[in-house]
Amino acid sequence: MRKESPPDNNTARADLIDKVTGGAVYASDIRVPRMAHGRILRSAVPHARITRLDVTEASALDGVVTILTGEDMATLAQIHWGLFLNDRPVIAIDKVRYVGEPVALVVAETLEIAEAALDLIDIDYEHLPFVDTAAAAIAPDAPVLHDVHDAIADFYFTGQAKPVAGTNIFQKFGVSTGDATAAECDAAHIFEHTYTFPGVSHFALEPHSVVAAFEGDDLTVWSGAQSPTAVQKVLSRVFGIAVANIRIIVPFVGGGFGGKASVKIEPLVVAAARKAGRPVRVTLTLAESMLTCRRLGATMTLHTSLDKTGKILSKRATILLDGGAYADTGPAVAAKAAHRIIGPYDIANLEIEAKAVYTNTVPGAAFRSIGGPQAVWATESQMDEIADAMGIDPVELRRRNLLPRGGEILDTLRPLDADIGDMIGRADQAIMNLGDGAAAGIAVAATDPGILPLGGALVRVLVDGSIIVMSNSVDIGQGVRTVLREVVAKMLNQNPNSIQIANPDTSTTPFDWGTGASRSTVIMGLAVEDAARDASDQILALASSVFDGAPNDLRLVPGGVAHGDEFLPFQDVYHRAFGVDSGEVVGRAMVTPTRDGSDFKKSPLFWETAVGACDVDVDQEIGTLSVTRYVGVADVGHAINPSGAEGQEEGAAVQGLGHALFERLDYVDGQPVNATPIAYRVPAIGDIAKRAHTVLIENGDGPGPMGAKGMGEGGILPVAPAIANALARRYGIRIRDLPLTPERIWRALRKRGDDAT
Amino acid sequence: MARYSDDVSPYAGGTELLLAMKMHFADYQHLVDLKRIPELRTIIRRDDIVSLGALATHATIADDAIISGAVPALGALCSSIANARVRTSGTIGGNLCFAEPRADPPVLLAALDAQLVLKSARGEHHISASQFIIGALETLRAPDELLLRIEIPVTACNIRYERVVFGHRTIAGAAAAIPKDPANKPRIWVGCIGTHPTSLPTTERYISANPASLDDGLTHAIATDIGTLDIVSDEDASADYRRHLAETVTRRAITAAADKKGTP
Amino acid sequence: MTSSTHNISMTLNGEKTNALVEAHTLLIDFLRDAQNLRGVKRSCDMQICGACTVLVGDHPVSSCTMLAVDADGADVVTIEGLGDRDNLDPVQEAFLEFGALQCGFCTPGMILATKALLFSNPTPSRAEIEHHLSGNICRCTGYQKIIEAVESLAQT
Repeated sequence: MRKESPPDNNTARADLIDKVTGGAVYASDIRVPRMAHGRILRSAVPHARITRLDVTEASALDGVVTILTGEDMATLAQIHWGLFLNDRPVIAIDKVRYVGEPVALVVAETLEIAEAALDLIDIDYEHLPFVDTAAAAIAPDAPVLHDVHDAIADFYFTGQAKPVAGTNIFQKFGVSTGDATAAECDAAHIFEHTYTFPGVSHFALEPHSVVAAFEGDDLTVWSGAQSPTAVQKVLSRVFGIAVANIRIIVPFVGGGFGGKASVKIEPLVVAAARKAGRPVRVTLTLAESMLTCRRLGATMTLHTSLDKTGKILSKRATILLDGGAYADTGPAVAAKAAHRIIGPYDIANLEIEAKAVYTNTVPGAAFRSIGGPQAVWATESQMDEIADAMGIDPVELRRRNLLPRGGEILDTLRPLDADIGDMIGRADQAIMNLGDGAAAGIAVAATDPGILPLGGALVRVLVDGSIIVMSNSVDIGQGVRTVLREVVAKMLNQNPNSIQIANPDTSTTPFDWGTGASRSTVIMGLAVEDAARDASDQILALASSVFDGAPNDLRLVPGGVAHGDEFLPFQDVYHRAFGVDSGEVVGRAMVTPTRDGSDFKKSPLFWETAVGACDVDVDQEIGTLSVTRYVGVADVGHAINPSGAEGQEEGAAVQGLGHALFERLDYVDGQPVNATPIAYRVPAIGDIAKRAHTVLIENGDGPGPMGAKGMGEGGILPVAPAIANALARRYGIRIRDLPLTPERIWRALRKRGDDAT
Repeated sequence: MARYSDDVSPYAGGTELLLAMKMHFADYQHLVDLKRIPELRTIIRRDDIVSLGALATHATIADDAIISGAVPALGALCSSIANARVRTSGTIGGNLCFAEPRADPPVLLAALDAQLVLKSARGEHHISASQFIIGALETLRAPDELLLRIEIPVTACNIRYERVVFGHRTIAGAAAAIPKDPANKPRIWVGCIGTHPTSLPTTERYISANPASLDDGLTHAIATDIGTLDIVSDEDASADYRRHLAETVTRRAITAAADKKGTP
Repeated sequence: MTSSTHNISMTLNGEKTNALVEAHTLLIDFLRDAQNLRGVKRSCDMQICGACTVLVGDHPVSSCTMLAVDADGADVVTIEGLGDRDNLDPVQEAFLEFGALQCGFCTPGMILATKALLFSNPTPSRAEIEHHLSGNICRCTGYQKIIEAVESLAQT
């Protein structure tokens, strides 16, 4: 049976069925023999020297196996690790730098015992001055969190992070074209506004969970990690173990959003397992996950000049990112924010500087479109403010400045591969279709996914015609397995149900850079497509000897090979070719920047584009805002799994809604005051727009299989500015700080009232 | 319970207590499981008194025919407390005795002039719901006492509870019980804004004196009362905003109760 | 807490189950560890998120905030007891059909909460669906497809 039409949910069904029956195994479900349980003692103070750490009494507690502390770090091959800077000790050694930093890890026979032992650990601190905002961190007299900046030359094609010695600045990234200052001299209008975006929590429902087990010199780690090979590399360096001896296995992951990207608690748990001499499991609580990573907060000042017709002449921007106590992905976030703050506009003169700084708060990390929601919040809010001030319709102002398809946002980047003007038109139409007229607020975005084109896969065609696809792309809920299955099914002309997607496992599966930045559909999609093609070539070559015909006369059909009217099952092909009723064909491929027929050195591989349009309603007495209608538009090239693609857009939009209305990790005196699931509010089912629609544009013009582009991040970008723009349009108030809490809206309404009288 | 003194807590639905113990806010060596005492769960009406067993769950109260006939405002509130799972397990008595400052039922029960019946080896003891909670997590219940039931007088009142909820937390709540006979005294209570529910005497007097008018005078009376209260400031709402919300929900509750379409 | 042990007896996923549990054992730990029912998911541990929802006598409860001894004599259903691959419950079927799940971590709780809703109200309106499921957090789907799935069940 040929399957020409795009897959319906029946293909996705195979990946989802275990999740509706409770059969899906997640990292937090892993149990291994002799496993002990770890609980973490965390710093209660924002910045301090540890003067005494006494675990004597806790160690004596019956059932305690061992307690890992900073004293154990001396034997590591590399004590400090990181993604772009080696700044983070496996566990606090002499200093703590944020509330929540691990200072001791108790390993015990049961979680209960570990928990009880935590209370018996004595710790004394000598308090140090702390900074809990980025602004304080760059003040002249600010305490400096890290004495040295050890940058790693490992920054995708652009060298490495550029920290400033003797300061808290761990990354400085600039974009400069033309002459912004000169352009301002010719400008009819100059607008300067400052916008803020707070640090927010990933709130993936499954907290971080890791099991580490040594067997001799071999290390096996089960982790809910988005980047298994990054974990493998860091563990190799920290523990001095060959990469080949480290096996990372990733089962289903209960939500990632970037919070499980790169490396998180794996080195800590491995250190504990090594000391304990037996397998150790650490599953964080959700509150602990909130103390592990977050999105970087940002303060952004835009200085935009225009001529009298509304054409933007120049844009100057400063972006100050609150990176938390350790840099993690922060350097890349700063670089991306600097690109993403430009918008899909034709601006000849740009002067952008992004700085990411250390503060005594939860480390910043990757989160769905790194730096994107922050940058788009500023740029798209300001577009409406400018339009309002100049008396131009906000959509019209955008149209006067939009780049056409093929236009260059920066000449160092690939030209824009989408028609944003067309997307705005579709958003208009879709929101009209929901009733009650035009949108009150819109926002647009074009972001350059940081896609590293490096990932391999194996496609194994087994003797009975069943197929195993081996890839290190992680199922974090985005539906990657369905996409890979579809690509392989199509390439090999096989029934999707005959194809299994194996769990990521670094011991058996080729390198992949990681699951994030909307890259899996394109990079892993191409890798499995190439691997399937390789398998197909091998099978047809085998079959040609069997059929005594040229490979060109043969074709794959479900279950085997056909030659004219003749059909031979794979089993018979293998039997005749190999001489036994066994064997398999292994197709392999590795996508690299120099992949044949591709131009993958130029970034981005595709643009992730989004338009959001909405209307809002405010209870003006109380200040609560509800989004009454919402439309999201994305250009995805081709939706390999349409329902899954739509679900990605919807989910991204609702995360954006949370960022817009509710979410903010609050600090008071260096203490995180709402880093618990009770205190931190994320959207619930009643919070979403009652009328909503998602438009997927499919022109088949992406670099991925079947013309797909990557997707899944864009939907989060336009939500907050679209809502703020609608709020301004409908109620005459402009709020430049997220989230748009009822109190802020109430105060703005009151001020508007006062100003009017 | 007398035997274990400070180290024991009565335990009902567990929605507050187990959570507090898991978070190390509370620590008891012994829990006395009250759920084994079925009488504590019954809801009955005797003449003009509805007797509500302390162990009645929010879900039970929400679905109960006696409650929906006699005090529908309580049923309506219980059907929207927290989430469906908390309503399944959480009890009205536990809610009162835990005295969480953000809890809604104590505010309404105070306005309903409910009487709480507690029992110990020393005998039964009646306390008005309006006096029972004296601070955050503090009540007049002695450590050896159990709350048995809540007695709610059924009077000819229009009763409304209005609140502002952000996510799952009440930011301000107000209850208005306005007698159909203007000769009787109205009861107006506000809560979830400080440590415990409070009555609004100026407002009550104003309504008694001006039964038909919902005007600036009422707004002023409410503001006068609420202006005297200590109001909490936190990440959900700073004090002056919460004060405004308290005034708003109070006026909304009174307006709705005064409306003839208000619940009987 | 002082440890005392209790014999409990419950109907678990349709089967009579006897067990000895410590007084302070939470239902979630009893189900996941002693009964190996890992479809019961631990997330917030504070009865906010609903991932650990199980049915006790047709009602939804947070198994993270209920003692196992309190399930003595009860009829307890976890996701494993609702239906298996070859014999799915209509709610499971609807979630698959509408793509009402992504990472799947909230899904067992969301499905059981839906089941409880339909027990008490077979034809819920959208407002009733929102009210009843407001305590089940999903960070992936944006809820749109969950609403569509539950509405499809309400229409039958």
